[in-house]
Amino acid sequence: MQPPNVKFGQISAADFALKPTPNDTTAEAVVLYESADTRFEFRNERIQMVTYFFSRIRINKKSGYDQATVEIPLRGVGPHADYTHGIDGLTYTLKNGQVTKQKMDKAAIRIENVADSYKVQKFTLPGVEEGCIIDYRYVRNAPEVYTPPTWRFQQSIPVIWSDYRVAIPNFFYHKIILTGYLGLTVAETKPVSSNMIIPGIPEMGCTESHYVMANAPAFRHEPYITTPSDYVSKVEFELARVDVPGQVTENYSLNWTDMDLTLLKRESFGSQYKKAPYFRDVATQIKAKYPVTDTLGRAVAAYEHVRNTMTWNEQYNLDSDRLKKVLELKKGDAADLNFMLIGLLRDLDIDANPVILSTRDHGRVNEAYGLLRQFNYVVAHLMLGGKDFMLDATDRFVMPGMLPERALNGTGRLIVADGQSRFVSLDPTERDVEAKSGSFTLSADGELTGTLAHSYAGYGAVDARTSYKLRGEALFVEDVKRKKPGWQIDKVEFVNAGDVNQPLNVNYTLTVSEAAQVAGDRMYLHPLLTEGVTENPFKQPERQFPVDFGAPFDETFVATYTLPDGYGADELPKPMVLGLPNNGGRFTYQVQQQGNQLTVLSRISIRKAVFPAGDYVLLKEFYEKILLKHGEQVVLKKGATLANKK
Amino acid sequence: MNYVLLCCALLATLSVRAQTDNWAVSAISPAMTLNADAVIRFDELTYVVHSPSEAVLRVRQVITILNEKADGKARLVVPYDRFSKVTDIEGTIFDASGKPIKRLKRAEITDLAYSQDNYADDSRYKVAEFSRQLAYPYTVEFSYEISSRNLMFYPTWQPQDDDRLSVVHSRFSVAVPATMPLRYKEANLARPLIRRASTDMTDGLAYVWQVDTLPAIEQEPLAPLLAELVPTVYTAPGQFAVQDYAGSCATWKDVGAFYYALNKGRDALPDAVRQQVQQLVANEKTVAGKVQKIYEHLQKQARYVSIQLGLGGWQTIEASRVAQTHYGDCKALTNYTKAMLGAVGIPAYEALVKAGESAPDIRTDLPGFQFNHVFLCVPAEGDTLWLECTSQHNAVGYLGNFTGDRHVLLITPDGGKLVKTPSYSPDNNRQQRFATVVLIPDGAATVRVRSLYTGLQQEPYAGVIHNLTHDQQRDWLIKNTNLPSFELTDFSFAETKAVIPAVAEMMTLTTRRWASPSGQRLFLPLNLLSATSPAPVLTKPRKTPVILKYTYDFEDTDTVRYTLPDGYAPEFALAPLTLDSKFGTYQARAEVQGNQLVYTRHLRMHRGRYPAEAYTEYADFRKKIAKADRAQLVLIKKEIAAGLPK
Repeated sequence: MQPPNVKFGQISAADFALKPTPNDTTAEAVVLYESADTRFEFRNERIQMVTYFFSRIRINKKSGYDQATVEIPLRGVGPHADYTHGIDGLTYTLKNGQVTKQKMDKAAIRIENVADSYKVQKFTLPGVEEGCIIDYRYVRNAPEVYTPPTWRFQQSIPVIWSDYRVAIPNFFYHKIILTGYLGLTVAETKPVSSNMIIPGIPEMGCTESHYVMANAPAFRHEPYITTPSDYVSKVEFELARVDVPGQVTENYSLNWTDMDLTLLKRESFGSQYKKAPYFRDVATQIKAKYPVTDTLGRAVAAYEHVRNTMTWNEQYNLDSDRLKKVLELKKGDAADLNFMLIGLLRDLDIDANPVILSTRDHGRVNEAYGLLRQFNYVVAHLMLGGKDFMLDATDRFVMPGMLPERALNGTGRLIVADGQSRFVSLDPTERDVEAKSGSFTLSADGELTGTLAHSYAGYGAVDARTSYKLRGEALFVEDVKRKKPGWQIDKVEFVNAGDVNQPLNVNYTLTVSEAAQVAGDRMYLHPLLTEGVTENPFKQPERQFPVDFGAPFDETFVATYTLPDGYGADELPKPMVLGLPNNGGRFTYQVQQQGNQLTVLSRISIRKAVFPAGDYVLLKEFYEKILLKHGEQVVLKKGATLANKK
Repeated sequence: MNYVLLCCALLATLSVRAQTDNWAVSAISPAMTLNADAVIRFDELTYVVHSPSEAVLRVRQVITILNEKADGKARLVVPYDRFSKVTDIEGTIFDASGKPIKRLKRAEITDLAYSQDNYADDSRYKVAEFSRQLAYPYTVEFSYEISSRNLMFYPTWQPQDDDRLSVVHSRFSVAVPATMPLRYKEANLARPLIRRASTDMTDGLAYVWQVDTLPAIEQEPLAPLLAELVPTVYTAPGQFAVQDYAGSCATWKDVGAFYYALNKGRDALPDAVRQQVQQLVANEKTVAGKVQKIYEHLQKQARYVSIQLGLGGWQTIEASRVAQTHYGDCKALTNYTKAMLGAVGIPAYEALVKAGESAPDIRTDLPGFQFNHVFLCVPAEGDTLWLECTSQHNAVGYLGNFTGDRHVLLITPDGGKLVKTPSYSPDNNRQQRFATVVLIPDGAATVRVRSLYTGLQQEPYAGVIHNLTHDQQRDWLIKNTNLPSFELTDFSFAETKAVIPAVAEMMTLTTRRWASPSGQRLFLPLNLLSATSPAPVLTKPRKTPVILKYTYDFEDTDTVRYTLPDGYAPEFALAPLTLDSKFGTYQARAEVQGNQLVYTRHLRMHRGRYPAEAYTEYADFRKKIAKADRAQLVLIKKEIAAGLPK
């Protein structure tokens, strides 16, 4: 494919007719061309990373006007702060075959001091209307950064040509990671000469990398994914080594072993969890209560202590250098709390170590690259009966050994001294289980009375307990009443609300008037009442990405209905058993009459957390069939006996 | 769209002396913690007006946080701008026993930009916050002072500004020079105002209000706004001055005169633009025609960019600048449109408004700057035209729920003039739906739906047309169509721009489950598309009046024509239903002729205010409607029906 010859300020009437391939007639705007060029320059006695950005966008619709306002976040303080210069903007409109140009003036460019070390450079283009093309360019200097910016080839609007070029002096060495589902049009690396002269350092030349993606369609968000950045096409860099002959040699995470060492040596990581002198009294008490052979007893006691006395501030982190402060505030991030836990476990003679991981919203970890930047979270690890056992002190409702859902993301890295570090699986150890069990009496006028026990286990219990804690018992019940307007709840009982090792049971005593529709001597009853599947979660006809549920799950409904005197089933839904390939899931359904009782059983079981995109249609069909089955009704008739109907 | 400035009402809060106060939680009476998440223990707001251009607000507040839901109230947020200065922020946190744990440090006070949603805004805010506490309850005390040189706004005192918040003691005192008597309005106060000589200045007047022991209010469905229920004092300046401008709020005329003076002479247009506009309307004979042309021109040419600068955000950018850049905020775009109309000899007035779909009307009995937005009024014989100049797609004359049905202040050369904008009746706000459903015996159906939405009911659909891409529109329809599972084969929208605008939505879809088969029968729900839910269930006796607000002014009609599968007939007939109540009326009927079944439904509601007791009646009405909306017809195979005893 020929690279287009696009220059700021040079445009022709033909540019207004450019279309993405395949054409997207519905796009609110189209990036016609976008480029960035990153170089390293020596200025003001320091090496600075300088990036030259240029964008040309055609705005098709008013909903695309946002493209004409640009915001560039700038971080850092004083001479270390990022800064921009050379901001230039032009708006072109096409009228009667003639292109007119309007230049952005100084008054449209402003900088906002959001907070001490955070500024936003803003500019907005003039004379924007439907069908116009805008050009803008700017230069961004980063005096303290030696890692090129992440470049996204794909955006929320189609991109016809996206071009990224970076020339890195050969005394820096970066890992380069390409992700996404689209192919590159150009991917080249070649040596080039350096124009950077640093006194006292020999010229070493540069390596230039050049990446282009042509015709990237607009990125679409879909349900059941981890985070869009796992799926969008992009190139990322990680500084692996600095080697200036005779000056500096510094290795960063070149490979996993180096990364492990970097972490272990790092003051804010490896030194933080060696022991926990601040918990000395607690350790003494736990030791007195549980013998050294009772690893589980000690681990759980330590876990309960940390998570019940410390509050998580909802922040993720990989480092901590402020445990003293955290102890004082009794509040900290994931690293703070879990380092404390590891320290305490070690003081209890347990060989505890950190597992670093990437949360679901932070994206998947690529095991091919030992990159620290892939990680944003840390939990505690120990071996129990020869198996990995992980604890996360940020969550008060998971069972010991279970990670909160945000941490269920593929693979983590166990960081241990003496080269013993390794990957550990973060696959969920628990399912999301909800079971409802009812026992009802149906009256001749269609009213149901009885009990319904709603049991939550695994991840289901974590969610239910979180909501129970946050809302309180009264509001929890009010929420249920709101969701189930047909239920007249006479009594509610919570069982095991405080014991995370047991399922949470909520037992309702209730009346549902008009649960069955009465017509003459017949009654029509939905055997799952209002508890069936009423909507297919998969509505789109097809899908590009895997379906990621987070954790496997299980939803069961069983009930027994005592029928009114003289009534029997005239018609019953047929039983159904349905499976997903590779034992991925199963649906079982059955309604039976025995004497004056009707029993119903429905169970949906999803046994895998992640299904490949190829299974999407099957999953959708699976739900479709459940939906149809759950919609079926029982016909009850006075004097009917099912045997006669067969 | 709405600009923020109404800032003031600067965070009602409080203040006072007494280091010996006892903040132990045990000192709070049980009545004050009932239904409360937080208790204002002590609150003092002291406003001292030294001159028309100088005032100081002193605030001291002590609040006990009972549980984590109220943690946000332990955070102090003080907005300011270039006319005001915040000083002496102090804070202390106490444990449940009332013992001070910690004093606020300077480093814990951050200074932030007001809002990153605005392109330009010189307002900022100070935020002071203690780290989150583990143990509840705890108590925080804050005090601070704001000195202001912009006295367009005086504070509003409303200590109980949230539900689930009780107030033990709050005091509001205002000191003014005797020559500048305070203008105020009271609401829901039990104790009379105390007037006395001011101790803050010689020859001054002091006004003091106080409330004690206000129990927490619990939110109820369809309740009046909290602001209507709680003790409040609104205040407003008489004479005031800001920068070089002096004004008065004594009458609406004065308020308008100040805004007029502030923006006078900013509507001059360059000659070229004047001529262009004159040419644009050269062929239009009527005022309405000219206005239409100019408004369309504005919508095509200019866009909204939030720029909150210029005398606290009340002075517009000059029309000549907007003529060049083609963007601006509400003031700038309104002023620019006014200037264009002026160029063709059509007078127009800015209309100051408190905009927003749920904004309460302004207090007409206390003239002052109660507004957050401005739009344009074109007075015309018999038919005044309203123009929302920030909208890219509104029709001329349509105000909708953003600016309709409320008092606005017209800015005329003779000062302000208070007028009411039009409201919309049920006849204006319609949803008319026609559907054809062709059923086959397994319950699947091919469905065509045409829905016409008008007035307030068309607003969300107009938003979908203008703000979403084609793919997003499809996703939106799939998500918002009330069917359990379906494939959307085709859809389109058509918009009619008029004073009462309309949107027609067409959908063709197939579903595998419209009706549910069970053996010999087919269960046919008659109203899947427009089914409603019952009103929320009350769990406690109703306290507040029942408010059906303007959104209840609507009329929905549905006609669904079903083609029944061959060989099926209804097992029983459904009786037509009519429900009449003071809240509205409902009719539904289903008639069968051969293989055709026509279901019709009509629901007309209207706004109203009813005593608390009426809630039961209302809920009953809604429950009956919800039940009727769930009506199903049972179809049975004709050969079976023939064999059944009737």
